[in-house]
Amino acid sequence: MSGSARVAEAIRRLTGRAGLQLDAPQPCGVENLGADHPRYALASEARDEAIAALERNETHYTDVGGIKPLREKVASVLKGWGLPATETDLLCPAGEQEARFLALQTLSRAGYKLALPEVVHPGARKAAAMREADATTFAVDANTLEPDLDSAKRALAGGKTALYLESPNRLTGKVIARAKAEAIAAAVKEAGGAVVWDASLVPWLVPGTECVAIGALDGMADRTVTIGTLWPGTGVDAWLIAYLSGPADFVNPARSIKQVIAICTSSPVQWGALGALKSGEDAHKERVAQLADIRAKAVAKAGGRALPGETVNVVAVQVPGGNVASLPGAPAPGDGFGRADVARFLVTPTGEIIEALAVAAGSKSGGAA
Amino acid sequence: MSTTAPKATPGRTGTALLYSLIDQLKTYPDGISLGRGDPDFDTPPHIRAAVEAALREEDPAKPVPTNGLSELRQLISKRVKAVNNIDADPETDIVVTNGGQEAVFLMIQAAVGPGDEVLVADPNYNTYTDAIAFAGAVRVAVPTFVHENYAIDPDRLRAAITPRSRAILMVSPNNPTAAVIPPALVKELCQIAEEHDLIIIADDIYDRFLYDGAQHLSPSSLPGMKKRTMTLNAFSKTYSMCGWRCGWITGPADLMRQVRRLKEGTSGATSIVAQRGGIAALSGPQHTIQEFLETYIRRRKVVMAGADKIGFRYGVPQGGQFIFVDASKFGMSSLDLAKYVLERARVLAYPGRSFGEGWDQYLRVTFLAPEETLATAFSRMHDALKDLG
Repeated sequence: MSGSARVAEAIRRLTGRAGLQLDAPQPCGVENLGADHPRYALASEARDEAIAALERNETHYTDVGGIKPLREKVASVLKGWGLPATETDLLCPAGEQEARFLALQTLSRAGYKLALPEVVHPGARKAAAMREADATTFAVDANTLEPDLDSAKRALAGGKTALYLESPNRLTGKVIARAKAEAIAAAVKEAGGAVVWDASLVPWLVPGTECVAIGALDGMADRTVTIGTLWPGTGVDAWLIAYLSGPADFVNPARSIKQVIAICTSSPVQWGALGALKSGEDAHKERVAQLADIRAKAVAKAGGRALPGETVNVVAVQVPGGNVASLPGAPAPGDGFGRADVARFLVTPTGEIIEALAVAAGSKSGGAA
Repeated sequence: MSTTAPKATPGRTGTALLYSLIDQLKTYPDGISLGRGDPDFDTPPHIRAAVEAALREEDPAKPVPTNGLSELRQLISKRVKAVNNIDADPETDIVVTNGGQEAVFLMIQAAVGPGDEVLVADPNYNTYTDAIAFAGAVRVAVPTFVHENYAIDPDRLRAAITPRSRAILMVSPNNPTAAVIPPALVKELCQIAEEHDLIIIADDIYDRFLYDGAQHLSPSSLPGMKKRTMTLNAFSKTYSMCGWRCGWITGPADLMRQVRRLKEGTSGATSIVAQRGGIAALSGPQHTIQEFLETYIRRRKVVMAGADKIGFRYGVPQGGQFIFVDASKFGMSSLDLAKYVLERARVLAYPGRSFGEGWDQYLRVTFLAPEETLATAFSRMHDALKDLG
């Protein structure tokens, strides 16, 4: 202990915030199947653009929201999803967690009560807990993890509320179906609510899967903040870059918070991210096709314990008894998401998940199958 | 000059205002920016070269811990011991951040909560005001005055302490005033902190830029003070790496554990690219720091001469990269004056209002341009202002 009552008081205050749990150290090496995205070699376009930026002395503060060419490029991708994105109403935060933080804290400061699904990426709870925000939860379907509409409506009925939604789901990869998204949108509009929409796993969708962006639905553009990453597969995971897009009424206050917490995102990272977006779509399609094949084999190994999902990067499996720690490959434990009986395995191009699930299926304790 | 104690400005942000001035400056082809605290030097070539090499070799599968790469934390530990005489265990006492800005934010969130009071020498860097407001805490201004070189008066500090006081902010060299807290006063302030059991939030970001024999003393280096002190620093000013966004906080292990939790909630890990820049900066040649310092010493003379010619009153800059001038003789609000100077002289200086409500007749001017440019800027300001004074 420090010997200072004030320090002890500060520690007690923070320890009391349930959402702020320290992550376990991430294990190194190819055996780690707990990461959010499969990691690939650094795309040459990302490296070359970052190096060129350093050689041009792009080492000074940038605009808070990010360099204009990056914002323009990201906006063009989001427009392709039907979102009314513009480079002026878009930020490039320093990674997915900062995007969550900016989105949730912006809405909290705007007077919205935050409503998180009972099963959600642990980073969302942490971001909401940063300012003792007024946060509630709503139920999800036990199998698909889609939001339970009635429960979401009840959350919205509690006053000015912002729903936090993931599509695809960060634990399972399950997409919120169009009909459900439209029903949620109608409820949000009726209640005068708002939505934070985490679309980070869109780049990993199984080819041909429809994944509606709720901000693209009629009447939702002015009440939706869309966050996520466009860079999976380009090797810039540890560079930390993301996007946040929405109406000016939300993005401008988010920009002010970004100024307070970091001024801007790392300049060489932004230039590298711009380069990464120039890397070939065909190469990513190949990555997705390869992972889809591996994922199908892994799902077969899970023997019916795999939860439904529509992205190629993860397989979530039920773990009887919830003994996730005993599973091989260090998968992401589901308790951090709110489902202690589930483990999420990363699908990697080298296919470790197949062996891990085979071993898990054969084990006596904590077996996935 | 007014000696009225400036008022506190909890929760006010001047960010949009400052960015509008920056945008306006960009419309002038011969505009001179003396507003933003972004050194005009480029990051030294050896740092950029080392990062370029790392980009060619880095294993993208390598996880980045939230508290920073071990290699960087070890280097930071050695740096703060050598420069600041701070003992910081790289495993438990250091968190790497997205620049000094995130360090400010995290330290404040770790130290105080709703209703708590933070004692702040007024004026102060505006981010402190915003970070305190975010925590739901209250900024309590401890007035300083231009005719006292913006020195903190310990009696005024004592008078500001209430049962809700929880922390004291010690920024030395100061932004915007460029005042350095002398070692004897640091010790006295630390004694007050101990008497009232206050957490010390120390900002050492300008610790390598001191003038006229001024001495910097880190509160955490004093006996018994580490347990209640968090200290920030960053690569931005010392190595001209503002755009990289890499800094750090040191402090006692129990508080730093909370800082790490807050960092996980705010942004997660710091970019590996920025951290590689930090590693290159701390492990490479250090001669550029002295070169920057010698340059700032020359620039400071130009800036003070220019301010004298215009008739600004100011506290003599003892450290850092700014001069904070009293422009009350011109009878305009600081924003109107900044706009006037911007439009007539094409020179951007930041309005004092951004640093506290009571400083609305002051301007902050940086040294962050070549001497010739600084001379031109002050000459233009002189010409623009001579009809007003």
